[in-house]
Amino acid sequence: MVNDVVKRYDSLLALDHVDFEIAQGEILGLLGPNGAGKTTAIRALAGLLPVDSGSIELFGEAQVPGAMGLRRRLGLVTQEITVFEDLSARENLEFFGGLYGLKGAELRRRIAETLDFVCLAEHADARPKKYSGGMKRRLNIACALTHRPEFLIMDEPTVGIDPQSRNHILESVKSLRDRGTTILYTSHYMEEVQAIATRVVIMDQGHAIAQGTVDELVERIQYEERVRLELGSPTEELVARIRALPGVKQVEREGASLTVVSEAGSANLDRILQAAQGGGGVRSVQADKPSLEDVFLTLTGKSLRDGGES
Amino acid sequence: MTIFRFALIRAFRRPLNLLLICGLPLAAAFLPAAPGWVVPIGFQMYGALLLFGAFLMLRSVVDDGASGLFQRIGAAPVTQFRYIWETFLAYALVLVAQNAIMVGLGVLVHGERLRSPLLLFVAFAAFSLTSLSISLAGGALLRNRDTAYQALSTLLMVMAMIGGFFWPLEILSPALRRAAMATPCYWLVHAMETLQRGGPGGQFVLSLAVMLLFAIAFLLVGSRRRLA
Repeated sequence: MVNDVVKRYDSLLALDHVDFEIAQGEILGLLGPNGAGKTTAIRALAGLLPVDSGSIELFGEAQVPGAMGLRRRLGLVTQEITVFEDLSARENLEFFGGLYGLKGAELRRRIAETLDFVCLAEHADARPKKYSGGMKRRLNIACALTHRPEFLIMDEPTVGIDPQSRNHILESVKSLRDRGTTILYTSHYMEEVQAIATRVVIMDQGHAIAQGTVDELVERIQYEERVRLELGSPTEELVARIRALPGVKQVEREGASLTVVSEAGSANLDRILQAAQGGGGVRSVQADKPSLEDVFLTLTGKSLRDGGES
Repeated sequence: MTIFRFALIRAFRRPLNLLLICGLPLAAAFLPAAPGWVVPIGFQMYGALLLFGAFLMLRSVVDDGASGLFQRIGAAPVTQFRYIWETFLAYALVLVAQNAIMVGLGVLVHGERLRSPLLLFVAFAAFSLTSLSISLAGGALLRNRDTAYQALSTLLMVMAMIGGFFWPLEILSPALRRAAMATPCYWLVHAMETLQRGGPGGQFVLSLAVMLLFAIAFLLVGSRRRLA
């Protein structure tokens, strides 16, 4: 639980009274443009940074730098690939597992399990410099898993990798959640967060400006519903009939296709389809719903991927 | 012991380290005694190899900091004190073992011309600690990797030159010799010359004490590095 946390770097207010909660066993997506305060929040959660005021509580204990008991229950997947290039994958896991107090047969068993989990067992004795980008990213994640953390912080774990490796990582994250691991996940790829996060916190300029499930956030910004129809032979009379339906704000016709904009919550898809039957038959229907990207854009005025003003 | 063990493994993974730890120093043992030099040339130059060998090994700590590895290690249940000390002790063990081999080879090659080999080993061991602590302090003070490498390698070279590793101390002017006394290199050469000339034991102990004081001072600075 992050409770009214404030963190300053000289005159820069990196975290400005930030509050959010992470429920046990959920994946919380943390989104924000560059400079929003995500990294500061992650560093404070990982116990790498003291906060100026407020508190962070994990598993009922206060998280402060030097809280060794909590560190044992945490895993950190860094945004940069932070593995030893001069050690093999197996040795990397042995090192990080050793830091968490694992040794002997138990350490070897955990290493084998983790290598299997990230599909690197066949390359366990190779050094990372021989790995592809996706394999390095998987090793980067594996180094945070050997000690089986209860709370895993993942900072942009899929940056710069191919779609296949990304899918593999996302599946692994979901699998970790299914095993009961609580996960804080940040990404510039909105569709990743939308696909895996139970809830989302959106940060901007040091504030947590919105939080909730993806559906809740979408509902917050959804002022209208948009339906696109492809018809056999739409007439002006048909357009007028649809325009007269309750809740319909606008109907645009372009050749054989109609775009119908209704008020949010009007739930008139059925009525539109019924009315459209007289237009030579409905060939296709597409109902657009705002995405998390739209939510982000509306709330922050910025596009997440480039971090710039939209 | 995880940090200690992997610091040892990593010390021998870099080819340049291997050359400076195993190759050049052992070759130096075979360099002959020369006129005008109190100590066989190879042993005097060995001081410079220790200085740069320590720098090369501790370069991995600076590299780890630059690559973000300290952030990951900082999130693990280990204190930065433990990380730095285990790494330091591992590298110290490597250099001390190297000192033993070097002195052993020296006895084989130079025979009785190399006086008091046991005390020579002690002097080298003290200087090994000093060399490591200088590089540790440099890495802690200079957080930018490139700046750290350039500044440290320049500083070490200057220290090695005025400290008397590349020529006999006698050829230095009195002013330069006084300046050289501010470097730990001078005190290693002084200790070696004292042993070689059969000088007073007090002078040898003084040299050792100065080298160890340098080591402690630099260690205090070096151990203040924050992991993340």
